[in-house]
Amino acid sequence: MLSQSYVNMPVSPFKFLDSYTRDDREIFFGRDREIEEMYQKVFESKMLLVYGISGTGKTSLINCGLANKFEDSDWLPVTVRRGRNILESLVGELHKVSVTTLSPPSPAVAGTPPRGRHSDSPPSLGIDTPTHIVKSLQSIYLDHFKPIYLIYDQFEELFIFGDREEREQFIRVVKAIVESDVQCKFIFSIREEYLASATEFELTITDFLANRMRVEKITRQHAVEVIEGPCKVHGIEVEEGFSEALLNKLNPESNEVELTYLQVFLDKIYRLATKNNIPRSGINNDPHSGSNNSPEGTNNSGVYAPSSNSFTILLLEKIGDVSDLLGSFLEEQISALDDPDTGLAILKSFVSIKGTKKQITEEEVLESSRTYGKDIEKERLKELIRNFVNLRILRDKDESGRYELRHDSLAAKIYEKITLVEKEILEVRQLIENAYNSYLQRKILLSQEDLKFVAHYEDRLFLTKELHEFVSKSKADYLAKRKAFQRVIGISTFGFILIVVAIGYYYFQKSRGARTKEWIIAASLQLESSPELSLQTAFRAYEADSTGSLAKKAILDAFYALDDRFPEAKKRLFNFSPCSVNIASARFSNDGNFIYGWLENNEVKVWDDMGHEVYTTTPDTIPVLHVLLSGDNQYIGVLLKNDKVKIHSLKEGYLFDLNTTTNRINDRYLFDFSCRDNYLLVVVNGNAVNLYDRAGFLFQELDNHLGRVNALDISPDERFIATASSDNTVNIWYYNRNLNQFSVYDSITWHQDAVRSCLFNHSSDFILTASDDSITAIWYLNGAGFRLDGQKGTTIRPQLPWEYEHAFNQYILGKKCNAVFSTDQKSITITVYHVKDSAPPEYRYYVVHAQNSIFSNIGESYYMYPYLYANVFQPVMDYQSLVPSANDSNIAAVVKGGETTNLVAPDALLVRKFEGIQPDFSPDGRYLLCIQNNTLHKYIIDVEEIRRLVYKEKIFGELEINYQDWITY
Amino acid sequence: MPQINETLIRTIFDEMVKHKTALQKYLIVDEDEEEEEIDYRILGDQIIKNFPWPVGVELRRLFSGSMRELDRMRLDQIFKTIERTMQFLCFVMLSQLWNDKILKELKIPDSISKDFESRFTVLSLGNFSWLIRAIGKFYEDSKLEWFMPEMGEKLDKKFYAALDFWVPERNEIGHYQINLTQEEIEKRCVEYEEKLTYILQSIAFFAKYKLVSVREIKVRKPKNMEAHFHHVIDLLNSSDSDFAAKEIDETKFSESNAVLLMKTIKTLEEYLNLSPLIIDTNSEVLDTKEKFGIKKDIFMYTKFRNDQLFYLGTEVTEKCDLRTLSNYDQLVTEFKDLLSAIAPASATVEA
Repeated sequence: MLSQSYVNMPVSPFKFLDSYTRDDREIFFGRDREIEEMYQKVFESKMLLVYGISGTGKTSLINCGLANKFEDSDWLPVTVRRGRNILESLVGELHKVSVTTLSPPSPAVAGTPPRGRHSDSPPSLGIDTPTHIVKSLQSIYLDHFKPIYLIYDQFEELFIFGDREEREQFIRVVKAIVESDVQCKFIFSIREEYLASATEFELTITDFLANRMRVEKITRQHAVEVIEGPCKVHGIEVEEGFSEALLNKLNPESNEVELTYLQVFLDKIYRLATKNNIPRSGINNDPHSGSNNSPEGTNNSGVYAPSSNSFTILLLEKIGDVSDLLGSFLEEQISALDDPDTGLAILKSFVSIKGTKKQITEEEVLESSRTYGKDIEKERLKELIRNFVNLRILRDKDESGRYELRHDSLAAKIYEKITLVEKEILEVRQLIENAYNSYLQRKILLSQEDLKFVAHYEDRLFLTKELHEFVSKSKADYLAKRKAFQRVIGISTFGFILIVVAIGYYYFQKSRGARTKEWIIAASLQLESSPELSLQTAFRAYEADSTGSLAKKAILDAFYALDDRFPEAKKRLFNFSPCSVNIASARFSNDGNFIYGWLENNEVKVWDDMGHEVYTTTPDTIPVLHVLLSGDNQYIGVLLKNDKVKIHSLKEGYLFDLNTTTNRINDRYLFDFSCRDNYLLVVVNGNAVNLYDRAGFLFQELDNHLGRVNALDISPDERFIATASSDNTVNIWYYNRNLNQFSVYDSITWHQDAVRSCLFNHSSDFILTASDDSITAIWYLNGAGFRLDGQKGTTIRPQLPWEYEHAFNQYILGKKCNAVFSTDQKSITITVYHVKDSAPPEYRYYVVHAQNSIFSNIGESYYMYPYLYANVFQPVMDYQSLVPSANDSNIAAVVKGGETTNLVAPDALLVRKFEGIQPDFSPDGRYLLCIQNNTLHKYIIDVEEIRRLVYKEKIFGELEINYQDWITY
Repeated sequence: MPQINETLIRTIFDEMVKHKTALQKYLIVDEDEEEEEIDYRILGDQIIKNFPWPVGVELRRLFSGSMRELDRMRLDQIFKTIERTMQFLCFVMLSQLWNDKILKELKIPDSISKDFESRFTVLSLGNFSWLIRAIGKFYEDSKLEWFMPEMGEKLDKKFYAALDFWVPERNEIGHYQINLTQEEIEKRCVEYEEKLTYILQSIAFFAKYKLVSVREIKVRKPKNMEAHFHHVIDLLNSSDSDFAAKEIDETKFSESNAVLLMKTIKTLEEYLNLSPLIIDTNSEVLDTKEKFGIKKDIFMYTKFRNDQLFYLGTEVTEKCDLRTLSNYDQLVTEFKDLLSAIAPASATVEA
């Protein structure tokens, strides 16, 4: 229900909370001095700043006082309120007053149609806005031929609601207009509290504040004019003393009068006067007084019937306390509503965070009301707003559909009713709105701090769809950035940890290495005084780092130092009786259980692993070239210089002779033993290879070469026989079970010169060939057969860790007469030979050691890519023999002319020197066999074997470690 | 159908172009633009700017949006325009007469001196018309050289007759002696516009000349060099009172606090000082309470009474008491000099 006080009342001559306009000239009193001053100042400069506290009548002075100083032909006012954007509002207002269609903005907003005065929507601002606006102003001037006065009312809104960019854009436009010759002046009306804010414009326009005028509160003297002037015009009778009494009531102590309150008060008085019949003071109002001397104007009963157009002192008394006119006015109107809380929530929507009024639309009121806890229906809102308009609390909507409070004083009163929490929510809302405007122009989202601030109030913020999406987008963007940051941090942390671990590992290794080195140093220092301690220390070093060769060396040194001290222990390991003559050659059997060789007198001997002789032949005048023990250790073949092969049985003795063909280059592979039942031997014989049974009868002749066969090899699985020939080929023979004989499978015809050797690897998958064409190559048998299908580009991953490329062959130059895999197939020993005239061949040995190689198929050949020993690849000394060990990549090397064998570790460290030459490693790699004249030495070289012998077998007995010796030493 | 004022504007502008060829550029249309026409609004603005301020400002008011209806307001404004125009022309001619009297020792004929004082102490449209005709005839008969030579051509009988038309009209209608119907008002608006067009067309040569206000003259005398005079002048050819300032350095000086009609602003060789008939209060410093009533404007003399000069503003439409001007006494003295120069036989100057 609406308050009946202000509905259906006659039109008051007093403006209440409205400002005076040009049409109110007749009732605008008491401001002559200010009007004159303003009129004077407006000609002094193109800009005039009018400031004062709220309610001093700045707008009225301009729109009524100043306006009426000008003839109509000299005054074209364009009043601009900030609205959503001050420049947009300006452009909109200019379009309203233009007669000629204004030219559109710059091509940056191409597509914007030209706007005339009747356009509904405001035009977009172009990038050259100042120029465009100046042109628009010029056009408007030419339309009207009147000086244009741009009146910026409530100018403080630019500082309350606008951002820096808006202000900067605005002042640029002002500067452009001022500097142009367009007939336009500015009048800025601003609340005094925001005057300091305007100083930022002085950076652009230095005299922005130069021409200014302060509007002060009206004095009592002038207030009397304000009261009595309009009364006189409207025929309202004013009782003598009324004005003074009114002013005393309103503001008893001060000479200054609040115009706002005065207007409201006068309006109230007027409404009261027109509503009630109020007698004059001093007149007997008693209907029963019986007095016959009725004053004029009274009825016969003595009751005065006053005119409704009269202001009396009694009327004043009736009003009561007026100390908070506006507040009580508001209270009265709000409490009269059906739902006062809803009404108040609506009114709160019209108040800014700073307590000033603001222009908003109905939709914005709906949103804002929710913030105050009221969800209002649209129709209900319309009704309430209409009521407030009728009650003159709200001004009716403008062309853009915005309502606002009638006066800032009302805003101040409503602001008092906003709670602290609500103010905080307002602040948050304002923050979001400002940020959204900034986002629209510069695409800047809410920062992390802003989001945190907003988050506290989010459940109480009822935002428009656009604002809500903006906040959500900001959150999403922040989360994405945070995730990306966390990812980066995570990766960095992981990387850091990895680095730390790597450093830690490195330092651990290094420290371990350092500790190992310390122990090794200690071991070597202890060696002389206490080999037992040295051995113990060396083992500690070895346990710390078993990969290093230094520890191994230290162990070997300590062991052999002890070995020297305990000669009896030697015999327990190898009790070899020296031969009568020097030993020409000796080597381990395939299983390592025997040692066989021959002496310089061509005696062939076989010893067991303890060095005891188990077989011997008689001395012969014909030099022995090569001796081979069969794999089952039953037979021994002796190659003689006269191209004979003598076969002995270790049990039965000499069996028979066979013919062969020596080549003087590499005679080691002219015959081989088989384990098959049907044949025993394969022997080279000229261009053919003969198979013989145990009786010595020819079993089969493999005759397919065109040149002399230089070498043969039976594959460990006995399925193949390979024969290398001077016809540059290698034939592969396979055992045909059906035929019970060997047949030619295929040939390797790739070599360009005589092939000197062809050896199978231990798994019978590959053949290693060496040729006079200086190439060493590996050939893949592909299991069932040798693959010569010529398929190119097929990649095969072998079990062997080898690749060997042509380029490698260039580093080891010369004719190659032999290439043999080590037992673990991690090494290949290549023998290069050189023959000069009829002199015996000179041999050079290379050990090629592979690490992590991949065997690849390129065409029909398979190549190795080795990782080489530096001293092998470029030998610093000449070796007369190089023998790789079976399992740990050591090399036994004998320097040419030397009497000792160097045990060389994979890192090229000389681990130990052993007496004797012609080294041969045992198949298990634990022992090294050396020939010293007529003696064989079997050296332990394996660390674990040493450990076992020393600490388990206790070959040296209980070793007592004398720490005192060490300390003393 | 032409818009209101359009014919007036185009006619006057065409005449102005003859005297100031630089204005021709506003008549050039871009041939590439098919629909482009001459914007007559711009022509109107140029007319305002090229007439001296007291005339130009009235023309601006006449062209303004408030005066585009054929109504009483427009009628009154036409009257006001013609009155200011005649007043200005009169003052220019009188200033020249006074100048020539002093410099050339002219003998003012009795036809002028006899009635001068009575006609000049209270001005009216009729007095302006009389003075213009009298001075014009005198110069024609004496074959004297005008400061503005065009006056010799344009000020002829037809022109004077055109001026004479206004006096009775003004007396009858301008002072609201009779009530006009709307139809009559409209008719007169059209007629008066034509008449006004002729007058303005006749004095379109004013576009050649500059009306300036000398705000300040400073003597600058460097050592061992000749002194020169630094003039700060406002150009009073403008469509609003925000006059453009210009500075001129000359070896000679003009006259302080004076409104001058100049043939060229490049040099101070030839000018006509219109003081005390036209004055500029913009340079007045309002440093006392008594001066607060002074408005900053270009004022034109209206009457002389009780040894006091009265002026009317051009932009400021309300009455303004200028007696507190710092050079007021000087202005009174000058005015008396003028009176005694033109009508030396006069001993008193009371209206």
